Amino acid sequence: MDIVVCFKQVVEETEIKVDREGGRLIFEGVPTKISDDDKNAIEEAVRIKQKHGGTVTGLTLGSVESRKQVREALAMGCDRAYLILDSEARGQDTYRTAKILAEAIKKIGKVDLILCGSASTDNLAGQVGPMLGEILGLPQLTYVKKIEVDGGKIKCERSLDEETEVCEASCPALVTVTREINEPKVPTLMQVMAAGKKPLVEWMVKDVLADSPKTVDVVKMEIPRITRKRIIFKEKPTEAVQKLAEAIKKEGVI
Amino acid sequence: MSESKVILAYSDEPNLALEAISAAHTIASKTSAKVGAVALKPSQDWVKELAAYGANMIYAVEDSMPDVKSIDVQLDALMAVAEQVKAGVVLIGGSKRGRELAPRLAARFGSACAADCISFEVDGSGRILPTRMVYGGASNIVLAAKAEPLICSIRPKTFEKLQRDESRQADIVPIKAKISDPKVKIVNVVGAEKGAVNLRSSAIIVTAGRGVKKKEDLAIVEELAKTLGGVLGGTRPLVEDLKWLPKERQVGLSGETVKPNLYVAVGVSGQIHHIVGMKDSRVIVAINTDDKAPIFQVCDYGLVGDLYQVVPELTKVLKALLNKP
Repeated sequence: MDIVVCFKQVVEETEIKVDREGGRLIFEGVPTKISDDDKNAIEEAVRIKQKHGGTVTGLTLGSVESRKQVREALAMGCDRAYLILDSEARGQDTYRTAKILAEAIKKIGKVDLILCGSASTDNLAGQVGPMLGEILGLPQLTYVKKIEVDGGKIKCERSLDEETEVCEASCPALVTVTREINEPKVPTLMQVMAAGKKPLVEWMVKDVLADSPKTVDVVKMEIPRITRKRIIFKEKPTEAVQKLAEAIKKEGVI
Repeated sequence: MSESKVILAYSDEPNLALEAISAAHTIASKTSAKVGAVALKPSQDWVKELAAYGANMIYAVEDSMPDVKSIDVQLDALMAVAEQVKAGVVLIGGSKRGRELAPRLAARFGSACAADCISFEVDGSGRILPTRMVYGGASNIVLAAKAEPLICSIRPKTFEKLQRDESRQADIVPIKAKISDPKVKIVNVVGAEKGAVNLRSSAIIVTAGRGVKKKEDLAIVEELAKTLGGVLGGTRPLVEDLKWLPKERQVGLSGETVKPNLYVAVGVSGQIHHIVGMKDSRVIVAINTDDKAPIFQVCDYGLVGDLYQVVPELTKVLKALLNKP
């Protein structure tokens, strides 16, 4: 089974600071990573390969800084990787991203299964996977927490809002995975060393798509305001607890 | 968007469909657009409901459908309606199925898509500007479509459905659609596991965060939840990283969005990602050792202290106050 796994370089969202007075986000010193669900997608691709044979190709749209994440994906077990260098990567234009990835996948060649994370941790839009599947005209299964490969078929469990849906499709197909699907392994030092020798191809956007579409503009960014009572009890524990309990009771919510 | 274009609203979940109609009216009220609900093989009752909740038109797709739950099928139907009525905007309820449906519809059109929208503005030139959250809710972003139609999924529980009014009338318009056989076959749908909690319908939620050091210690927090007559929730690190609690207990942007009457955050630092999921609760209480924890910026009542000391104490005091054994 030849698998292409798509991943995205994102900032570590838990380390972004909010400057409420300045109304902006502070990104200085915030590290980058492979988006959480995408890491699960890479891990799952590698596990499927180990069980059923084939190849795993990593694919990302990013910048030169994304080479770090590409090397990590190779260390995790991808056999080769493609980095499409794009000055507008990580923007809001998910259709543009999906279109570029679709063209890249056509250029890469035969593929039986495309794996993506269900949504990136920075944007949480969850749009690139479904758009990519649609552009390529493939059967697609989103929010998947379990994949079984059986010959040219896959059977998946989808983690929906309040239920689990079991679905089947024929390959080639596209699957987006959630973090429930597996526990990504940290690459060993040997794997990290070996990753340096694996093939990494860098393309420019124009190498895969001459005229990339533009579907959305960002008008502005705003820091949302939250106003609350903010009554903080800092007394000695027994006194503070008593006051808190009375305050809750007075609100009439218990 | 040219102002007379139709705004379509759709979800296969009744509540989300009515919320989508409400969201469509926030745009329609600023333009001269009409709101059209899309319904697949609707019952008479459902047609009446859609009208009573504000649909000006109801586009009913009556063609034979192999499986109305299939997103492939819903996509074909929605595409047919959007094309035939030349919709300017399509709003889709943001369930997981809806979050797949919206981008796929946009991809068919090659148009703009915005996920999990929380509000809409209309600018001076009539452009419809959806707002959505980015960076785990730390910031909102306002977008403008460069390609039509604009497809949006709507964040659940954000737009309250309109007041039901049976005097509202809607034009019912049958639409012919070509529905292909689905590429994905639904084999089985398994409901939530027995004993699974539904946080969204809980009036009181007590959430444990990283301040809890061991899985066994969750019992301390759960005891408080029980005393209050509420249920135990967890933050993303506890659910996704440590897997101490099942996914349906996770509060936050990638978990559940909750609006209980009382929300108690125990040992929760207050990552934006978490706050987004609970900020609309009626009363918010926070307990944390670190008085600089961001959770104290968004709470009504805060207690600075060690949860291992103050939570059992609070449980005891509340039991006395509530006359519980």
